[in-house]
Amino acid sequence: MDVLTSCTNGGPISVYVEDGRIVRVRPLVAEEADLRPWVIEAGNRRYSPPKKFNLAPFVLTERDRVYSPDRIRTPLKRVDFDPNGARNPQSRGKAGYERIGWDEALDLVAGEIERVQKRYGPSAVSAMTSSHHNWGLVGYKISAFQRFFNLLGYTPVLDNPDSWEGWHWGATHTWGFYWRLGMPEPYDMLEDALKHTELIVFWSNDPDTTRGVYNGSDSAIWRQWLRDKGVRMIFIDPFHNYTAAAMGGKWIAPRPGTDAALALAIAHVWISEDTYDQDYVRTRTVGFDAFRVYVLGADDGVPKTPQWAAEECDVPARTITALAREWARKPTMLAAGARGGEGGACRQAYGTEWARLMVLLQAMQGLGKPGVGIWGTAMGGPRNNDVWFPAYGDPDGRLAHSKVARLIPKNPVPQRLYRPIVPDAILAPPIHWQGEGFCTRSLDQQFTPFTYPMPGCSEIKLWYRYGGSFPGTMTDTSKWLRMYQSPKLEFVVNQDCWWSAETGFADVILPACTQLERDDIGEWGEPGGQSKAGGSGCNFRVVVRMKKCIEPLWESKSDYQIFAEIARRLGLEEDYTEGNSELDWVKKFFEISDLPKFLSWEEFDRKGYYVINAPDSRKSTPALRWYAEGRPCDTPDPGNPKRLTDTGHELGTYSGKIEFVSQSLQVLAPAGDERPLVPHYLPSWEGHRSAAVARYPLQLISPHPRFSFHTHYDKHSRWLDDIPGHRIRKDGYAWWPARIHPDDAAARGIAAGDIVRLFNERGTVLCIAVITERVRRGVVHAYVSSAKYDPVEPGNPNSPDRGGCVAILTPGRMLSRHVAGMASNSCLIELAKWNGTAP
Amino acid sequence: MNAMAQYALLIDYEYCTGCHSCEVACQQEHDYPAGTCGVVVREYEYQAGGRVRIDYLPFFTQHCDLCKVRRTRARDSLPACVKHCQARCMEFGPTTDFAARLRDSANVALFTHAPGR
Repeated sequence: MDVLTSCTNGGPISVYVEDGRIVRVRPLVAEEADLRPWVIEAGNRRYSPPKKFNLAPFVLTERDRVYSPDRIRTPLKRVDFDPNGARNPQSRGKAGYERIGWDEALDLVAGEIERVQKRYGPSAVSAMTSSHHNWGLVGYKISAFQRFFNLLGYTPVLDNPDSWEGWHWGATHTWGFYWRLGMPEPYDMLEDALKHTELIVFWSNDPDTTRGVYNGSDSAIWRQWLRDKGVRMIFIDPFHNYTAAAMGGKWIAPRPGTDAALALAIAHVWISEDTYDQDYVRTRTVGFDAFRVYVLGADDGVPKTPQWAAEECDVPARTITALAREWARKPTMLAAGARGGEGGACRQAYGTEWARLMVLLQAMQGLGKPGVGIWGTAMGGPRNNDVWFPAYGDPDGRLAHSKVARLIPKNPVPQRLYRPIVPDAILAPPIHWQGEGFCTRSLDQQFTPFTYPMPGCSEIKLWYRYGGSFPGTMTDTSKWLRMYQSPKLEFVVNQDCWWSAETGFADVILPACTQLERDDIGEWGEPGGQSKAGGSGCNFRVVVRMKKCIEPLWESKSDYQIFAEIARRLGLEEDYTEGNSELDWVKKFFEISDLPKFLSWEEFDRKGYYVINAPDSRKSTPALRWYAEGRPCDTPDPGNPKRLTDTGHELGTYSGKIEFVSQSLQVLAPAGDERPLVPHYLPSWEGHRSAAVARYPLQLISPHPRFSFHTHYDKHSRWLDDIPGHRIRKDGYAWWPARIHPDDAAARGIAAGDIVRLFNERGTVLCIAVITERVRRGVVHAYVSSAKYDPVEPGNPNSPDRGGCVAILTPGRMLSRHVAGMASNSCLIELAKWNGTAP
Repeated sequence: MNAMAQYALLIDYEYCTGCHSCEVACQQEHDYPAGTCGVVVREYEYQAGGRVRIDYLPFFTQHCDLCKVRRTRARDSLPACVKHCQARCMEFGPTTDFAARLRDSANVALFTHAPGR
């Protein structure tokens, strides 16, 4: 039996292989001497993590996923697609497929690329990956995929900051941190909390479920320590989430879309009772007087009192007052999302305002002082930040941009698409938007105007999709299905390991292998770049040599191999590979990192991993302590452009301070921008006050899922269908759960276990009813990220979906005018028992 | 009358977070098909003191064999569910030891297995 090493989106693993077949997958087995756990001393206790890598639970199903019946086994061609005759785009999504050989498939794909680019120019090709691919630097999307397309020339699709919209478009104008897309630095916050914090307010945050993105379950024990130490916990969420379930504590359930009102009422209590940090506000912030005027209602005649907020939020005024008083009385940590920021409340109409107010509330309590921070409880453990290893967010961690390559190809096409509105662009051009997707370089980037098609460029004729489950993740997603059936797309390719929601809409399907079938390298949990030190939610830093554990299954090939073979047909192979195999690139990434200072390539390759332990004597530099104390930034935050300069004590805002009145919006925001200079509560354009409530009286919230990594693992790991929090079996089918309050269920004659249809004018999705007091009245909770799109009527974009893609119901409208973000959680629906036949 | 079961699983469900890792670990260990498992996590939702509360309790089915095969392998002395428990709320050991500890514990369940199983 061979034991090989790998790393996944949910943790590092050891893979046991017998006769060329994976027989078990378990958390990475490391030699005990390699693990030197850090120790935090607080309150007469020593806190130290166990010598163990805590995987995200779904990773234990990896073997089942690799051998899933859903794997794409061979190259396929749609039966009624003829590149030299009728292409029949209207039958995408319902027609069958026939097996073709690799040569035929690759000739066809390369031939179509050549034909389209010759006829319409390079901009007529567009290609798009999903947000998270398999782990590993070589196979990652910004490597194998993007190196190929930059060489080729294509219209890239800008990603929207999908999980943290309000922080990106809002909080950046309050405290800077645009290099972190609006979310705070995480450094040493666990130690700070253990030493000083007495209350944690979890606001729209479920870290036990979202696990610090890639960090597995390593931070779960931190919250146990905090709870056992007596730190009080309050959860603000329309859903009594899984962290609340595990931790206990107070649950406050505001109506979705009203979080900003709740925040303003808290500020009102502090201002009227004089329980905020006046000295901090005077020296570390600008514009407080204008905020005070708005909160007290001196300008609009509406004092933002707890009584006022109670009406909006449907939370008793006394609860709001008690929360505000306790918060002011105790050193309080605000956990407003996995990265400090994030959270479903930022993915809704005017979500910018809530995110800005989160920063301002903590500013009123001395943000950065001991125990007072914005910290999600899932990152910020002790970490060795001195040893450098590239991650996918760092240019040097990507084959498209890294110094590991001689040639860094430059895409010559200036045209861009924008992810949430790709279907609108294809179906009804021209379209316009503002903002360069991830705006990490400056606040100004948020205001760059775009038009598609760009003058001098072509509309998209060839769509190359890599992965693909947008029906379950984006907004108003049936438009993607309509897009696929448009004759404007002359050729559609899909390259993936598994059959996913979009696979069956392609003309040609190329089978990729999983990361366990190719060579790679990667550090657990670390995204680098805009999430530098995001891996500090892992108790040990570990770089893993991701081994090719088995040969690619069936006829699949690695993504790198597929692109190299297409490149060969286009005369680009030499520039693409530079003569390197995947293993050669792995070695080069190892060599440019700091690891050769500690061990040789041979030793690393033999052992399969290297643990970068936290130094024995470390100096704690808690996030923003420097700012609170008026010192230059002392955290190891390389993205901070003011760090190590004359203005090192400033934040990344225009004023260098926390801005109650945004100086950047004052300068940059164009007429009609809906972000007021002082953040406001703006009733949702699809919320409890909307006219549509008459027809669709329930609010659907669809937060990030607990038992899958976005769409990964769902549908492809059958074992997950046994977990009733994930899917529930009925009549031989694994349904997606919708959680409904007993009163709302009773009013509609719905019983537990009934199949129900969730619907509005955008579509119909079938789910299984879970009747529970864990959602507030008037709210339906169903996780986003079903990988299974299973229309009752295949090929009809308006068909009810049995798979659970509730994103079909969510609005395509953006957060606000000029704020091009997804507002998934501003969604009105109605519910009824489904009387159709079982699938 | 049965002799006292030799080994038992002790569950401190105060700490179970409902992550279901034990289930998938068990399925992988035994190569059970979907729908079959030696351990199942049950969620119990109730109200107490005017608040919603949730308890999770893993319990063991007839498919649990205490990982007999696994425990005979040198490296592995623990059943897969115990090894992979994210919350460290499960322990495996002699029934008599656990029984002695029960007196001092709250929210603890002890699962025993008939000898020979």
